[in-house]
Amino acid sequence: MANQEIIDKLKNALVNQDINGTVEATKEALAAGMTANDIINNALAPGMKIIGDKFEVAEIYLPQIMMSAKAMNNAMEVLRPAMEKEKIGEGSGIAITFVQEGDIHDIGHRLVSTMLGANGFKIIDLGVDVSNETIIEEVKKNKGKKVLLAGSALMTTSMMSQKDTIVALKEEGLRDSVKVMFGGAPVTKQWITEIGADGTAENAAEAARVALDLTRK
Amino acid sequence: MVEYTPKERLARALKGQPVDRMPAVSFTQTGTVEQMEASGAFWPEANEDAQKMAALAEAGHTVVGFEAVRVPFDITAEAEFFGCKIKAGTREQQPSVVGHVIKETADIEKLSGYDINKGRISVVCDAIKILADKYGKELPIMGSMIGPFSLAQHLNGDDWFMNIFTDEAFGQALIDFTTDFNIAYAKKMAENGADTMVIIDPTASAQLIGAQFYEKFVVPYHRRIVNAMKELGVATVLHICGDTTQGLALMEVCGVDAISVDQSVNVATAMDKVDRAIIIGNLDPVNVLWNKTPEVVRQKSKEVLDAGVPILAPGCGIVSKTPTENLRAMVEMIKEHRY
Ligand SMILES: [Zn+2]
Repeated sequence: MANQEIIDKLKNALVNQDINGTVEATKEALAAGMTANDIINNALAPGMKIIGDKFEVAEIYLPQIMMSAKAMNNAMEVLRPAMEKEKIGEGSGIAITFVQEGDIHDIGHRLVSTMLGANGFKIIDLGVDVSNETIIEEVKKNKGKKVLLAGSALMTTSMMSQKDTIVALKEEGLRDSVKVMFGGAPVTKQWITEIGADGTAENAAEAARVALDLTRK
Repeated sequence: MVEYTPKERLARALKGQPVDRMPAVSFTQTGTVEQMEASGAFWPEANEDAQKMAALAEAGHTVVGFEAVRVPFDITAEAEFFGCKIKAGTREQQPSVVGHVIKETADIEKLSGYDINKGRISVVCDAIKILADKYGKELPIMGSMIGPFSLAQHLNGDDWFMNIFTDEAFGQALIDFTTDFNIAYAKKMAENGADTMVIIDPTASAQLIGAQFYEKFVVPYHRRIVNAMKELGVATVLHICGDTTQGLALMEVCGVDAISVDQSVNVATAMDKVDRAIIIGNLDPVNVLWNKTPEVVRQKSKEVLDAGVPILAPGCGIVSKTPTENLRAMVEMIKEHRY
């Protein structure tokens, strides 16, 4: 099979939530001599972009995105040895996701975690009602790796503790080892600048784009 | 014009029949710290003890002025009943579900044969009895429970969203199981005196799962619950969080009397989207009821009333720290409103 065909096959498997298909096509791509870097850039990344676009126009929903995320992770598993050899690290990186204050409205958080997963991030989901101590602890555990913090705030009060998160990161000397993005209904770009975070997004698809931008820097 | 009791008024309003004025009720969680202080019944004890639960529910009527009493204050008693790990609540925070108990079909079988008279769901039923004995002739007695789709998510965890996609047989088996439970639980609440049933199904959102999955995994199950309640003469209200605008037409297919929408929905648009269901909503519990002044509450209430809302109410559960004066401002605006 020509390389382009394999690439298309992998991309389609990802977009069509084929969790076994991505494994098979990734193996074929490696066997055909492609690098992990090429496979990610030519098949997986564009595939993920399609998923994000489809979600934004309400063509697919959470069940499909979660399955594509799984298909993506399966492909990454196969690529891991090659990635190590090529020294391209942890895919997009590790994303630590959390909601600052407990609430039943964790839909945004759920979608962001899933979209980041579908974009090659290894997700560490800390869940809802997460304290700054827990966040700091998790960042420490992953020091030296490419880490993104993605926090949601549903209310104005939990938005206030985003500021505390940044302060705590600075105090622990960890601010430079993570990229920090915050989202949620009350969060504005102005607020992000004010507290010294790195980015925000209006929705889960945008969150994935911003996250990739931030971690590529 | 005839003056109705609050009970008659709400029953009529939910059926779209003419009433003397708008009923002042909250279909979502009513407990606040100020009401806890006034009644001496505090979270988390008021979630566990029937007397305290009833006392705090009563405060919604005696302190705030709501023309109904409503229990419980959270949506985790059902998952707790089936053994899910629960993160305990505090005075200001409701408990939340953190562990799940169903992975596969065999796990469902293990959980069947339960005794509905046990656990915190039975406390809720006892509280309803206490409230019905005291207020049942005069006030609507509202029971609320988590809906079958969100209960399935509590039991199965986030895999639930994938399982409805990849394993239809399991999906159907689990939602059947949760629906059977919902019906048995709702019937018991009705037996104990509940005349209005609020189904809170936050994750059953068409915005989240799309219309196709909603039609398959939500509509038929809501319909079964609604029909069971109709047989008992109990009114039904469905609350789903988030921007449900595009899902409203599907939400009413189950035959529910009324749909409670949150603040991300435009009330006028919502009313256009439905055929028959009464739209309830939708003051923002955080950015209006909790964090603003009575003056702003009155202004925002007026906006929603001017948009023609059939029943003005909070858009979702009231935040525990909400000042009573803000809730009273909303109640006053409702009571002054004539259709
Ligand atoms: Zn809600």
